[in-house]
Amino acid sequence: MDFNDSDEEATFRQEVAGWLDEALTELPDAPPTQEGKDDRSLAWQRLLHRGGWAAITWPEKYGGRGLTPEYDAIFFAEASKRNAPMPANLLGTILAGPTIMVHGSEEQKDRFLPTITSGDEIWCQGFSEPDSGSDLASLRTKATPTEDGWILNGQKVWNSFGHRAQRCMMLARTDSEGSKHGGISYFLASMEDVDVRPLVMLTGARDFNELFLDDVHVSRDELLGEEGNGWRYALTTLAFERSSLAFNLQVEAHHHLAQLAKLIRDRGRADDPALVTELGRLWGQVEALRISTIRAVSAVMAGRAPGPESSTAKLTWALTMQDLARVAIQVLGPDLELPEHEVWRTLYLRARGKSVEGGTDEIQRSIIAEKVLGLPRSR
Amino acid sequence: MRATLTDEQLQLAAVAADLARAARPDAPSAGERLPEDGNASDSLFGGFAGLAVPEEVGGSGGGVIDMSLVIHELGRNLVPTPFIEHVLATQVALGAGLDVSDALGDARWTLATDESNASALGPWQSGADAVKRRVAYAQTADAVVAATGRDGVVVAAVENFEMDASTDLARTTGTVRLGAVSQETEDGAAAGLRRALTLLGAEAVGVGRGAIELAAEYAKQREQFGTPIGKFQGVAHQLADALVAVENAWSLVLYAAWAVDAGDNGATRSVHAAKASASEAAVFAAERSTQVHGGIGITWEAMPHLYLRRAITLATRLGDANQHRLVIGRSLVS
Repeated sequence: MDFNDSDEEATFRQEVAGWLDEALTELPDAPPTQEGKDDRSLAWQRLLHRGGWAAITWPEKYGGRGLTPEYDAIFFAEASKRNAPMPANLLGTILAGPTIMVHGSEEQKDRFLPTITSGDEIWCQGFSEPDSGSDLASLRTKATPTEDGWILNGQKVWNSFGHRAQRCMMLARTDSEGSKHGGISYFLASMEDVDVRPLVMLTGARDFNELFLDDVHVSRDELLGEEGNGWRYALTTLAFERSSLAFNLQVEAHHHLAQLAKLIRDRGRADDPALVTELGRLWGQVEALRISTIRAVSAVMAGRAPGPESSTAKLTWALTMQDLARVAIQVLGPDLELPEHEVWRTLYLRARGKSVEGGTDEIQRSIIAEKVLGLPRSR
Repeated sequence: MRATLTDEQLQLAAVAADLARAARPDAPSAGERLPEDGNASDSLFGGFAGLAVPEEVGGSGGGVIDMSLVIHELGRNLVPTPFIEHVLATQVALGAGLDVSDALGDARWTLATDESNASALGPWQSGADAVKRRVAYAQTADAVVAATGRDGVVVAAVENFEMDASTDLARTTGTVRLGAVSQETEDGAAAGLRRALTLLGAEAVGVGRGAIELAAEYAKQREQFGTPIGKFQGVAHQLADALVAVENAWSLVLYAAWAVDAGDNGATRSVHAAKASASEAAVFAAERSTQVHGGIGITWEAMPHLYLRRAITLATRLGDANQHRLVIGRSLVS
C-alpha cells in the first residue's frame, strides 16, 4: 500500500501545477454576477481545451489524454488548490461524454464528443421532475413518436446550467403501459426549443432552473441506445456522477477546514477546548474522505470491485461540510453579517443542498443498508 | 498512489479471518465471563508474534499495517486471547528501540499505560511509582512494558499483582507492582505508542464491524409486523450510519499504519485521528447493534453486550476521542 505519488504521478502533478499557474493568469476577473461567473467558467473551459486538459481520462481520439482516474484526481486537486473556476462543461465531461462512450453508437460519439471538450456544446441534465426526485423512475415527461423522432412534453426541475446549455441528457417516457423502469428512454436533446426558467437558490444563486418542454422535437439519431432502455443508461450516468464528484468534494472540504482553523485563530477562540476538539474531529472526517477517495480510485485501477468505502463518501462529505459550516457560523456570531464573511453564510446555506442533490442522505443510507449490509429493500 | 492492499496482505487478512471466526466465542452463560481460548492463543502466538517486527531483530517482517489486518479480525470476532495485549506491549518496546526477542519466544508481555495522563504521545506524568493499575492479563504476564517519566519506557518483571474487576468479559485486568527492570530507555515512548495506538484503532474498527455484522444478521432473521425488521428504515439506517463511521475509521487506521511504517511526518496526527475515530465508531456501532437486537440486546446470554463492553473499554485506552482530537485541533490553530 502506498499513498505517495508514484514517479509518473509526481511528474504529472508538477506539469499540471506549472500549466495551471500560467493558464490562470490568462483568465480575466469576473464581475460578481451570475453572467460574469458563467462567462468565466466558459473561458476556463476553452483554456483547458486549448491546453489539452479538458478531459484527461477520455481516449485521445476524442480529445482526451487516455489516462487512468488518479490523474483526474491530481488535476482536480491542483486546480482546486488554486481556486480555479468550475469548467463550463463539467457535466458534459464527467457525465454526458462518458455515458455516450459506454452506450452510444459510433456516429453519436463522433457527433457529440468533440464539441464537449471544446465547450462548443455545453451539457445539462434533464432528470428530476417536480413529482420525481428520489423516485426518479416515476418520471412523467412524455415522448410521443412522430415520423422522424419524438416530441417531448413535460417539466424538469433542479437543472444546473440549463440557462447556458446547448444539449441536455433528457429522460422521457416512451412507454406508459408497462413497468415504470421499462418505459424510459434517454435522449441527447437540443436545448434550442426548451423553455428555461431560473430557480433562485436559498443562497441567491441563479444557476438552477426549471425546464418546460412544450412539443420539443428530438430526432431518431438523438436517442441514446435503445428505446425503453433509458433507465439502464441513466444508472450509468448516476454512477459516473458518484465516482467523479468524489475528487472535487474532498479538496473543497480540505480548503474550508483550513479556513475554519484560521477563523478560530483570528477570532481569538484557539483556547476554547470544545471548539478546538471539534476542529480536530472535522480534520479527521476530511482526512477520512481523502483517504477513502484514494482507496476507491486505487481499487478500480487495480481491477478490483470498489469496496464499501465508495458508498460512504457522499454521505460523509455532505455531513462534514454541513458540520464545518455550522461551526463557522457559531464562531462568527453576529459578525456573520459583515461582508467579508458572506462566504460562510453562503457555504452554510448551500451545504443544506449537499445532503439532497446527487442522491439524498436517506437514499444513500438505504443503498448502504441494501448493497453493503444485505438488508431487504424498504422501497 | 496505489492505496490497495497487496495480494499477500489480502491473503494474510483471510488467514487471520478464518482463525478469528473459528475462535469466536459463544455468548457466555448467565453471569459468566469468557475464558481464554488456548488453541487460538497458541496459533496466534505461534504464527503471528513476529509480525511487524523486523527480521533483523528476530521477527518475521512486515509492518504495523500487516499486524493491523490481523488485529482487526480478532476484534471483529472478539477472540478471547492475551495476544493483542502482548502485541501492544511488544510494539511499544520495539518503537522505543528496546530488545523484543523475549517477546518472540515463550514470554507473554503486557502493556501498562499511565492512567493519570491517558492522552498518549504527550509528556507522561508518571513518576517512579512502580504500581500500575488496570494492566491487562496481569495474572499471566511474564513482563510488563510501561511508560515512565516524560517519554521513557521500561520492560519490567511482575513482582506481585492483584486482579481488578473488568468490564470486558474476556480481558482481565489487575494492579501490578513492577519488579526488576530488564530494559529501559528515556526516550521512545511516543514512537512506541504511535504503533500501539494504531493497532488499538484496528481492533476498535474490527469490534465495530463485528457488531454491525451481528446486527445485520439479526435484522434479516427477526420478523415483526410480517417482515424482517431490517426492512424498516429506522433499523436499517442506524446500521448504515454505523457502517459509515466504521469505514471512515478503517481508512484512517490504514493510512496511519502506512504513515507509521513509512516514517511519514504526518504520522502522529494521523494516529490521533485514527484512534479517535475508531474508538468512537466502535462504541456507536456496538450501541446501535445492541439497540437493533431489542430485548435480546440487553441480555447477558447474548453477543451484543460483549461488543459493547469491548468497545467502551477500548474507547478510553491510551486517550479518549476528545483528548486525541484536542491535540489535533491545537496543532491546527497554533
